[in-house]
Amino acid sequence: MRKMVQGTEHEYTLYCRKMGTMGFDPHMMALDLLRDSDLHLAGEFITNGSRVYYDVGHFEVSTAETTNFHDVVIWEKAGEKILDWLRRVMEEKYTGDMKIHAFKNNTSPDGTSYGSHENYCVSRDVAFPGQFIRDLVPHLATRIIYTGAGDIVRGKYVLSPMAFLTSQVVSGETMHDTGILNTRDEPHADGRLWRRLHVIVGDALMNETAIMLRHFVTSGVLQLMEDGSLSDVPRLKDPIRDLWHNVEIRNPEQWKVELEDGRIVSPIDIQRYYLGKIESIVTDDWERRALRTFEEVLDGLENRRSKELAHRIEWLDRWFAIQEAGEKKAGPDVEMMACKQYSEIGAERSLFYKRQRAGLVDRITDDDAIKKAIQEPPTDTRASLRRELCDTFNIEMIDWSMLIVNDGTRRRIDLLDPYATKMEAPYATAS
Amino acid sequence: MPQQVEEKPKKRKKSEKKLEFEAGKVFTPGEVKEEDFELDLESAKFRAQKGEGGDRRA
Repeated sequence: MRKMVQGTEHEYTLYCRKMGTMGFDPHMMALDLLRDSDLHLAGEFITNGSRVYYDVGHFEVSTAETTNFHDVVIWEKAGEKILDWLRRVMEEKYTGDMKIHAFKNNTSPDGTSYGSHENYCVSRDVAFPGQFIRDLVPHLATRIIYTGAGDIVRGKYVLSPMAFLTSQVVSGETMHDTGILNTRDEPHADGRLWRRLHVIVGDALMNETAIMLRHFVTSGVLQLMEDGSLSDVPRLKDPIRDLWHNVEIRNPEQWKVELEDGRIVSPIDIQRYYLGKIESIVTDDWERRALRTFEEVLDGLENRRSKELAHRIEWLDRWFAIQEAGEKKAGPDVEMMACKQYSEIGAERSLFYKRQRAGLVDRITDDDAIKKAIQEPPTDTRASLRRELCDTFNIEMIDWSMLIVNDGTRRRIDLLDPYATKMEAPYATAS
Repeated sequence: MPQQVEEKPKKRKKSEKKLEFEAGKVFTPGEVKEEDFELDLESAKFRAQKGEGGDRRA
């Protein structure tokens, strides 16, 4: 597979009983602490190339640019761990016995939603939105069977909260009336060459294998689109109707998707189509291993091997965690407690991390790689160049694709190539 | 005219950062006592602000 710049954004939610009192907001405090720490680089950027900021009541982390489905997991987890560190510092220094909860999910118990988005740098040559609707929407509408995080929304257990809350096939909105395909067009790069595809129909995931699979398959599909290799893709008659049907059903035998020609198939069949196509572009061992995992997951769903699959599929593992909590503890809120506590990022409180420690969840990376990614950017993207420039110059202004250095002059340096790790003359422009 | 960033003026030293990242605070699964793990009612009660998540059309 070719390298494809990609990353994720998460709106983390913090909660503390002290919130609101004397204006205490742990989101803001965490940001203040971060900017006064050795992880801060310049502006909203931190040393590992990620951007961290306050966004409508959330602590948002946008990962550094990574080039593959494996690195994106590592840098996403690094962002999670940085926030967990800040949470612990706040508890020690400011809130005492009062806990600060930090959630990596998409809804609070009252149903209020917040986002987790994926970004993929795709060639501008792929026709938008036409080819994306034809080739990508069938993937995004059916991948929830292995990328869903699971959640309780409006009293129901759903495979994917973001899919449940999606209303349109195509939309430019990100808060209401959102679409399977989002039309936002902010490339943060040379817009003549690249589109930053903004995928907002995905969930906040704790499980490393699920994150990896989501990026392996989605970036593979996008590469196939760039190559024009998906002309025979199955066409869905009504993707939203099928998404709404499947998202509330845990039994794979009852999932269904209607094709344009009236045939009813399973979302597993749609994903098998993409599996076959991606097989033709895998080249190295990482990719072969990911492909095998993808195939095993689809086989497992078809054969309903749910206990085994729960190691890799988050909606299944969360479901089991909720059931087990209900067996141990009685009370009306137990299901919701378990559902939300699963997504706490603090290892001592998180049901997910409790299960990971118990060996119930498969990992694809390790703590040493994540520790390194907390301090350092990926070496094969613009993130490393941005870091080098920030380490060299005093920075007056910084964004993904541009910075202004203050060395007596005010020089603007454009970083329009997200793959560039060295300064290239065409982009080292001064103003 | 395009200009290479070749001259490297010395970067001003940043003022001392007050907080240093401590990996030990977040990578210590050995210190977590499973017997102390409890479900927390606050997890079922928190309220978040609306963010960039969808909101299914009625």
